[in-house]
Parts: sequence; structure tokens; C-alpha cells
Amino acid sequence: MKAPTQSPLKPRQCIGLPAPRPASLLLAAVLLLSLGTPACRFEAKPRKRLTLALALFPGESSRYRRFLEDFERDRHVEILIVAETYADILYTVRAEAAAGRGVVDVAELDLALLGAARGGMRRLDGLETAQAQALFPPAAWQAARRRGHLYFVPGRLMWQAMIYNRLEVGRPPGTWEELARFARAHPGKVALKAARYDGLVCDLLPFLWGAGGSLRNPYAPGDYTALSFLAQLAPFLNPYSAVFREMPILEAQMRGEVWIHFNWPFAMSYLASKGLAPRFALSAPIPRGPAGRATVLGGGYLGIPKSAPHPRLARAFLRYLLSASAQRRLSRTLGWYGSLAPEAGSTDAALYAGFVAMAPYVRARPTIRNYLPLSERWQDAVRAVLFAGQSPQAALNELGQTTAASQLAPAAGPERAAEAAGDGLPR
Amino acid sequence: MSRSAARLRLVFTAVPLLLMGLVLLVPALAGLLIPLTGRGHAFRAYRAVLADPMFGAALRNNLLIPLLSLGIEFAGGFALALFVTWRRSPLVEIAVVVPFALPEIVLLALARFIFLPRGYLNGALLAAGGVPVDWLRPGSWLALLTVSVVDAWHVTPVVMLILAAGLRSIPAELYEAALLDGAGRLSLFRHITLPLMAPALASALLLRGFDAMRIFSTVLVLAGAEGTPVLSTYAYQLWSDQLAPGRAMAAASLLGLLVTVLGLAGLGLGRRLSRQRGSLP
Repeated sequence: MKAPTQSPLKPRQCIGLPAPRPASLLLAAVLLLSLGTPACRFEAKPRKRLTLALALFPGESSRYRRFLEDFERDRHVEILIVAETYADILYTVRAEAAAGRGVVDVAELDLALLGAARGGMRRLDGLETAQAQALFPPAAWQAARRRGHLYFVPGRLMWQAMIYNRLEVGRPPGTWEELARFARAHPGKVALKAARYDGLVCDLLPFLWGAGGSLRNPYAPGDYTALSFLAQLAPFLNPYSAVFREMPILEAQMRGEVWIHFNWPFAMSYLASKGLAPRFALSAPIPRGPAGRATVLGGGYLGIPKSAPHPRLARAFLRYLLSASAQRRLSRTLGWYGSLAPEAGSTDAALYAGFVAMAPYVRARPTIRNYLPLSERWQDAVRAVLFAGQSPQAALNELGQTTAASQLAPAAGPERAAEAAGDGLPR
Repeated sequence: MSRSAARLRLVFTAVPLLLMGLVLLVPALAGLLIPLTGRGHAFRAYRAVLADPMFGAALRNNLLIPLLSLGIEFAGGFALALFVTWRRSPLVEIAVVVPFALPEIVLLALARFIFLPRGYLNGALLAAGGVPVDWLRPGSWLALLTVSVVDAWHVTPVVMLILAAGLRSIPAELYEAALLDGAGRLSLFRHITLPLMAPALASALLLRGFDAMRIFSTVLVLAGAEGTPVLSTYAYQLWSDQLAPGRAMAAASLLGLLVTVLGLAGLGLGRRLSRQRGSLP
């Protein structure tokens, strides 16, 4: 057998690579050495990633990102925003809690979901400083606490006011009687958000509380007074109230089909962005009932799930968010009314006059564990009165029979006092 | 077939089946278990759904809307198929197919602006001296009809295309022979067109029948989940508004059962019809 002939090429040349020259060897050595310098090691270190599950519209995400830039820079952290609905955030938090691990560091939840989510959240005691307390109404903090512990912090809170067509309405109704008179005189022009969802309860509560009623006591006399008033309004309400939610009712107001409805502050910024406010639409206080005036607190609370991978960093973020400067910037960046009243004399002050006037009357929905079934029972009762012609008494009797004892207000003790502050039991 | 070819065939069949099982079957089975888990009676979620008056309305609408919609789209689709087959006009064909070519949300948003209380249609009625009509008034029969018409508007082109393909497959000699025998237009339609169209009609009916029962976005965009509820919007409302996954899955399972039972019945009927006509072996 003939021995293989040795190739005249060097091995590197066989695979098409040129032979290294001294200069390139030197360059490679410099590059390798530079990887070991402290500056490079610092850059190579991965930044911590904080994941926020927030209930934002797609258009709001980019603005929220802008708001977060300061915190990201100061803390050298990367923040990932996951924009979901409140319902999906709750489902996510529950799934992660069941799995025992997760990726969400901070979850935003609607006030109505706090009771259902509380079991899976960390305690946030210590974040309720005097400075933070001053930012939000007492009812907002009350709703975030349970048995002396803080589980959530108010993130971007709001409450409802009346939104009216200033050209058609003139002077907005200030009392129930005036509202009823207006509805009778202009059939179909007053509307409620009466689709089958918690928003209906948000429209109901100012009437229920305004009559001294309570969501957790179906036998309170005020409940009957409130439902009787709604039954009186029913024939004159806009018929599409049965399917109205926040946006559809606002669109109907923009088209001139509705002249008076109740909504959150975002409605005013939306109307202003379309050039319809303050020229055509303004906000006003919700009409006063026989037991006084009231409005319902809503919006997003932030909490840290037990399964959060970076709980300390998440806590630092919440502390940052609870400063007056961050709140002011948040309102300005996102176009929310926010926790701070607009400056007197500004365009915003004209837009949000109704919301500013309602600030002292803000109350929170009960944040009990099974609030959602209670809310659903009330939704069915109110819809039966408004759209099926059921008598208020029959609807309340049915409600009382189907409401579980755990959903009813406690008879005595500190819990009752807390409920009185929140849910509007007679004080 | 060689052994290696058989093995390859097995692999090519098994991989998609496995994938389908993972992404379709497993979640569907897991979903079926959701209403049966949780506290209380195993069928508590089903009982709660069946006792809800909105479920009754949703079930009724879920049967009525497909019936109305199928009636409109088959009448319209057949008429259009006859027109485009006998008088070939590419322009008309394109115009007819446009509603299906449009993204669904675009078509529905357009329909909403047409049928709103202050929409284009009422504007036209007012301009013509008429009175505005509440086309989408929640819970009304008119809203049910409006939803059915819009649903039919969107999918009539599909029915038309299937039926036109069926019409074009009928040999012209059959018509010529019948005409020589003195058959009239009605006899031609009754004894040639209709029997030979049976397979195409059955295919279109099955395809659209299944689809119409799963109606969702048309109802949600036009009438709202509570205005003209159907089972899919009812399940969606329970899932997203009431945060009741058990009841939502119970409603979705009942919809699945309804579609399966009626679909299988339709499939059996279609096969029998086609076999009677001698089109299927």
C-alpha cells in the first residue's frame, strides 16, 4: 500500500483560513484581555427584569413605558409591561400562585377583584406612609387593607361623576327629583351602564348610598328607595342602557344619542381628545339622594404576588409610585385625572370639575372575598327592575334569599365599622 | 408498499396527529374538566348555567340566528351563483366576493355604523322622509334579524362560490337534451339543476351550518353580549365579566355539544341525500 502523500499546505490553509499574522494575533489578545476588564464585566452583568402586569389599553403601554424610564435608569433595572385585562391578570396571578412560581412581580387589579386576589398577594405593611396617605382618599386605603394589614396600594384611582351635554342640558340636575324630571322631559337621553357586569354596580352604588342603602344588606330600607327610584327612571332611560359599558355609552354621548350618563375621568380626557370637551361635554357632581351624595371608587390597585421573583425590587417600585412627583408625572403622561386635583383655572380644572366636587363623597365597594358573586346578584336584580319590569321589593326579596351569609355585612364589631366606612352602611 | 414507505407514512401521519392532540385535544379535555372541579356538587356549574334566564335566551338565539342567516345566504348565494354562471361577469363576481375579502372587524364596524340609532341607514330614512328604526334595540326581534342579515352578508360569497362551482360542473349536454325534449325552465331547474347540485348544496350547508352555530363577533360588535345573547357570547361574558370559568366552560361545552349533535345529524342527512341522488358511493 502506498503511503499518503503529505500535502504542501498547512492545516489551516486546507480549510480555507489564512495563516495568522502577528498583528491579528495581537488584536485578538487585546480583545480577549479587554473582556476581563471591570467595565466590561459591569456591562455584561444582566440587568434585573421587573415584570408588571397592568390593565392598559394598547395605546397606553408606550406612554406608561415613558413614565417608567426614570425608575429604570435610577435602579438600573429593565421593566417589562404585560398589558392585559383585569380579569386576565387575576387568572394569571391565580395560576402562578397554584404553580408556586411565576414571572409577574407587580399585578394591577380592579378594586372589585381585591378580595378574590388577596390570598395570593404579599403583605405591603409599611408602604402606607403619611405622604402616601395624603395622595388618596381614606376610602382608597381602607379598601386595600384587611384585618390591619395592607395587601395592595392604590395605583391610579378614580371615581365616577356625571357627564352631560352642556348645550342640551344647560344646568345639570343636582338632585334625584331634578334628574327624574329631566329624564321624563327627554326620554332616552339619560343612560346607565347597565350591561351585565360590575360597571352596573358602579352606576347603582351612588343611588344605593345616596338613599342610605348597602350592597351587603339587601333588607336595608335605602335599598328599596334606590331601586324604586331606578324603576321610576326605567321607562325614560335610553333603551341601549341594557348593553352599555364605559366605551359604548361614551360613544353614544359623542353621537348625541345620550345627554347624561355617569362615567370615570378617562371619559373626559377621551372627549377632550376628540375636541368635544369642554366645548360640548362637561362633568358635574352626581345628583344628591335623600341621604346625601356619594360616588364609587374604582381603578387600579397594585400588589405583589406571593410568587413574584423580585419582591424587594417590586416593593421599591411601589414606594416610588407612591410619591407625589411620580403620581403627578403619571397623571400627566397618561392623561389621567389621577390622585392630584388639577390646578385651579386650568383647562383640566374645567374638564374635571365634577370629579373634583365628588372627591369628598368617594366610597369603596366592599373588598370581600366573594364580592363578585354578590355583584352578579345585584346586577341581575337591577336589570330585572330596569328591563323586565320586576318590582323593587320582589327583586330585593330574591336577592336576599340568594345572598350567602358570608356576603352579608357582619352584625357588629370592627368589621362592621370598616364596612360602614367603605360600603356605605348607615353611619 | 415497501416497509420504509409504510414507516414514513406512519411518521407523517403521527406527527400532525400528535401536534393536534397537544394543541387541541388536551386543552379541550382540560376545559371539559373545569366545570366539574371546584367546591360543591360536580355539576353545580351546569346547573347554574341551565337555571340562568340568559342561557335560555342565548340557546334560542343560537338556533334562530343560524336558521335565519342560512336561509338568507342560501337564497342569495344560489341566486348569485346562477347569475354569475349564466352571465359570466368578472366585475360582478369581484363585487360579490368583496364582503368576504374584508377583514371581519372592518365589515362589522361598518355594519354597526349603518345600523346604529344615528347611523347611516336611519340617516337615509330620515332624508327620505321616513322615521328612524331601532335596528339593534336590545332584546328585540329586529335586532335578531339585523344580526342574521349582517352575518349572511359576510358569508354569502362563500356559499355563492361553492354553489357556482357545483353549477359549472353540470354538463351542458344534459340541458340541451332536455330542451330538445321540450322541457321548460322550471323543469330544467327542478329535474337537472337541483338534483345535480345536491352534493354542492350539502357541502355548503354543512360548512356554513357548523360556522353559523359558532357565531360570536357579529353579535358582540353589533348587539352586545346582553342585547342578543348567543351561547358563545354568553360563555365569554361569564368568563370575562363574571370571572366564572366553571360556568363559562359549562356554557362552552353545551355549545360544543349542540354543534356536534346538529353537525352530525346534518352530515348524516347530507350523505343520505347525496346517496339517494347517486353522487356518493
